[in-house]
Amino acid sequence: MKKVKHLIHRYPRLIFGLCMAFVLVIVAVLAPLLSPYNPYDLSDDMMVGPSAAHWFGTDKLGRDILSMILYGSRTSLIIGISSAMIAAVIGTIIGAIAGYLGGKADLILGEIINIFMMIPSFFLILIIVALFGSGLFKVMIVIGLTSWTGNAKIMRGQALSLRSRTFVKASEAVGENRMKILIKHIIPNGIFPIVSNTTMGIASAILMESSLAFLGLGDPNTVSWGQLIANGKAYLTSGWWISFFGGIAIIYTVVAFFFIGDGLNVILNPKIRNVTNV
Amino acid sequence: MKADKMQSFAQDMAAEQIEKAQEIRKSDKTILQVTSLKKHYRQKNKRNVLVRSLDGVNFELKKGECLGIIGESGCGKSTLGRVLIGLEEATAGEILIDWEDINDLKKKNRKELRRKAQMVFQNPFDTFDNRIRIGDILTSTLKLHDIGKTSKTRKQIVLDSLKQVGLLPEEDFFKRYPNELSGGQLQRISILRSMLLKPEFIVADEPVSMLDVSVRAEVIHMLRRMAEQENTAVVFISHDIATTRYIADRIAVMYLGKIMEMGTANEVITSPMHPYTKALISNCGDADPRHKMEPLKVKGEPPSPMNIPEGCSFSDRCPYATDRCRSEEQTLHDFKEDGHLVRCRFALQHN
Repeated sequence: MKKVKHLIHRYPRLIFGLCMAFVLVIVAVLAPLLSPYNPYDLSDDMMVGPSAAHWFGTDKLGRDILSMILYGSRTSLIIGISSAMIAAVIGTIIGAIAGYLGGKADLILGEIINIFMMIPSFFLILIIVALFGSGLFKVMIVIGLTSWTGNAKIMRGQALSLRSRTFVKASEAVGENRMKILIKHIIPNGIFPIVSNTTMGIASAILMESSLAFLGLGDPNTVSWGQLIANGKAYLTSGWWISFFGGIAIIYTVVAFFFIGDGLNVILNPKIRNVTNV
Repeated sequence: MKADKMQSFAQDMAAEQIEKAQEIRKSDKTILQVTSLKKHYRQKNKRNVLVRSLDGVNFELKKGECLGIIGESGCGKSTLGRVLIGLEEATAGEILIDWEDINDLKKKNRKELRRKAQMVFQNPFDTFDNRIRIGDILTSTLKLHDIGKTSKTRKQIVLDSLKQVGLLPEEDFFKRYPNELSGGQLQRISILRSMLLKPEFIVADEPVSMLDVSVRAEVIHMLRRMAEQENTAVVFISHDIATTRYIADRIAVMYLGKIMEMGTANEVITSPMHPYTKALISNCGDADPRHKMEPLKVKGEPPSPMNIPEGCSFSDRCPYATDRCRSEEQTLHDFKEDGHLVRCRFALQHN
């Protein structure tokens, strides 16, 4: 107990974020047990506001909002985390190589980053979904493959500034090869902004999925928060609860991941770590 | 009887002299030879402007010798250091390490070059990655160069050397992170890491300028002791004339990418022959407040290395400059034939 207290005192944001994310994961896993109704079941209680029977109300088809949110957490988490991870890995590697090696590698990779930045990713996704059909997996991959450019730009900047630091020069002087310096020094020291950017990436991936769902291109067989918000948009004046609780769920998720990212930042960087200890 | 004694004494003397000469010849082994070394940079936005950071540097370094390099900021001291250990490539000229060209060494075996040439950096607080423990930094260096067979022997080597340089308790330092140590401690570890590889020469680029005055002596002592122990040559780059005089056997004075004067430390400091060296040294403080000093005033700032004056590069600031100085370049010349090189045609006249 004392240990837990100490941990919370030491890394308040990380612990808080992890707790929030833990709740989210539990909800996602136990959705069938926690949900009072089947989210796909229609009922006669259409557009009912929050009440004892339907805590978060129902939508225009009489589906229970609470159950939809609980089930929707699965879709959102899977899409958000997976595509943000894909984006983080690709962006970090490409950005770090471009920034550290510089010269021609930087020129070529920089142009590749620019090309990917110029492609309107949303329309790319639309085309792919239109061509190959919609599905959770495809949406995930496509979002990941189109949203790494921000990470790459950040990592390139980090690598550029780390490259001239004495400890990198010192490692070179001692005889370390460049690949090893990249993995051992450049990436670990430059990863912090990527961590927080990835938490933002999770949020934007969730939003991207919502947008697709809004356009009717999401996976129609799964419930998602985006779909819920899109559905409720037309009823904002008469049935605020339909979009409202979906929005709250997205905010909750984003905040949770932001806390985790920020907390990790503190732990991974000993300089900040020691300041918080004092 | 007496004559016999005298003779044997003379023989002893001769033998001794031969021995001494052999010793000197052995220690005379040239470890580093630099010939007309140039390093030019081009500015990014003005491609046609040439920044001549090093403009024809010649010197050689013998095994175990310490060469001090002094000069103002921007005279190319640090560039020289980086080029010498191969962190940057020279524009022209030749660097021979142990009679092998540095570029060949680099191509052939980069690690071997690193084992021969090492560097101690100016900023000890940034020399180490703050995420990695001191012990891991040092053992990974050993591992990289295949020194010590198992991780256990490597750890022992590191612990022993930590103990040797007085970082006690050594087990404690082994486990610490760089940001938990002071500048002096970090710089000692930096020197230690370079010396673990037993290099032929080590470039120390202002190793104490960022340290507190109170720990400077300690670090300098350690550098000197370790270098003497392994018979490692040192290129000691500094703008601190007193410190350099203390540690260096020979001193080279640099100005705008050129060596202006070079000789034994005492000779250069006590009887400088080049007007620039004279000005530099006369502007140095003295510990004795009763000692009246008359600093030589030199007009103007050092010109930018983008725009070095024609002829002698010091000619536009030199109080003795003549028209010939401004048009004709002067080479390093040994006027007194005692190894004291000066780049000034009037070196003898003004003394």
